[in-house]
Amino acid sequence: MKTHPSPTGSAPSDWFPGDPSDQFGQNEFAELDAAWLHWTELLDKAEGAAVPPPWRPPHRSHDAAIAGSRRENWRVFALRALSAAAATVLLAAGVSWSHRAAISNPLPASIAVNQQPSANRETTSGMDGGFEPPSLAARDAPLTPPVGSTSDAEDLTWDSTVDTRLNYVHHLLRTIDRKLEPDEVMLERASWAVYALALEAQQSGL
Amino acid sequence: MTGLPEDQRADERIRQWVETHGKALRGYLWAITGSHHDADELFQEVFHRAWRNRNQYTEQGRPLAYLLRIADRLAIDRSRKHSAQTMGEQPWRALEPRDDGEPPWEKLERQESARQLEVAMNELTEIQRRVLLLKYYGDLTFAEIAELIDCPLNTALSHARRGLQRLRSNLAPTQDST
Repeated sequence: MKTHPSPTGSAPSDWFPGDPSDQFGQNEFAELDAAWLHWTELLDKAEGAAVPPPWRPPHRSHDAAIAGSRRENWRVFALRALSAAAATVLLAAGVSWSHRAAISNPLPASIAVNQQPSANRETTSGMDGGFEPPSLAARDAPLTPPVGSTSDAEDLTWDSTVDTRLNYVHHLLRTIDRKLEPDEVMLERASWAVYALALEAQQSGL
Repeated sequence: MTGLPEDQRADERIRQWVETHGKALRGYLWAITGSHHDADELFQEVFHRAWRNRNQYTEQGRPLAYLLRIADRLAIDRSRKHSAQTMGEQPWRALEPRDDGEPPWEKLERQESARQLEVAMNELTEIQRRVLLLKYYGDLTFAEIAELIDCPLNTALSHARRGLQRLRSNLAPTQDST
């Protein structure tokens, strides 16, 4: 049996407006019950509930497509960020424009590192001390998460193309920075800072 | 894949929710948005969200409360996004015509009902409307409503009571005449 709220105090939580047992009550809440009943008559439940539209769980491929598109966006973002970082280092190193241009533009997926445009393979002209493209051995060295990296890094699904490209840029940075006599730790940090940025972009749904 | 049976169970569960609670949910969305079109769109979104979060859902025996929570948030978000006004200040949209073949006297009656409802809804604040509609469509306890709208129980009860008082005063002339 539901009880009326006290006219002076707070209503008990099981009070139910419009409860048939309440509507002819003697206190002021009978009027509230009547208001409730009138209002709910107007608010045609049947019309509001008319034919709920059919719903089907999205197909798995839809999920995969969303994830794929996010991953693709992330790839683009990561490549741009890394390319920009590489270009900046190149600029600081005084590398020729042709190299900068090659790096600033994300490489087409079909271009593997060992199929780099010849411009990247050339010995750089006009560069102090010369510039050499990364060796295959350097390219193939895996990018490993830095010590203390979070599991986020491990959760990333690395596409081999992305991996190759990131390795390429990473080792390119390393190679270029030889000229700048970089601090190895600093170089690692710089690379992972860009990587963290890319992670952040991925997590924010870019 | 190990996760597949879990996913299938979740799909089945959500399909069941649509069947069991779809009407109440659609009713709430229609009443809170005042539009069949918006209600249909949000209805899809509610279940899509439930499906996306299928692995986070923990069974507590009140799926309608869970679905209404999503629906309520979506409806409020949409309302605030679509208008700089608060929901309580928005005019209640008149019921949309549903059937062109409706006899004129029934249409008139419906229009009159729509007008009364418009007056009644306009007089309620957003929170009063939410509390009363959650009670009506969801048949939730006030404790559940309080949790859903994130306020103390007594506040939820007080919103319900004040909302009904407003309805009483606005619907009173009609009540007298009947």
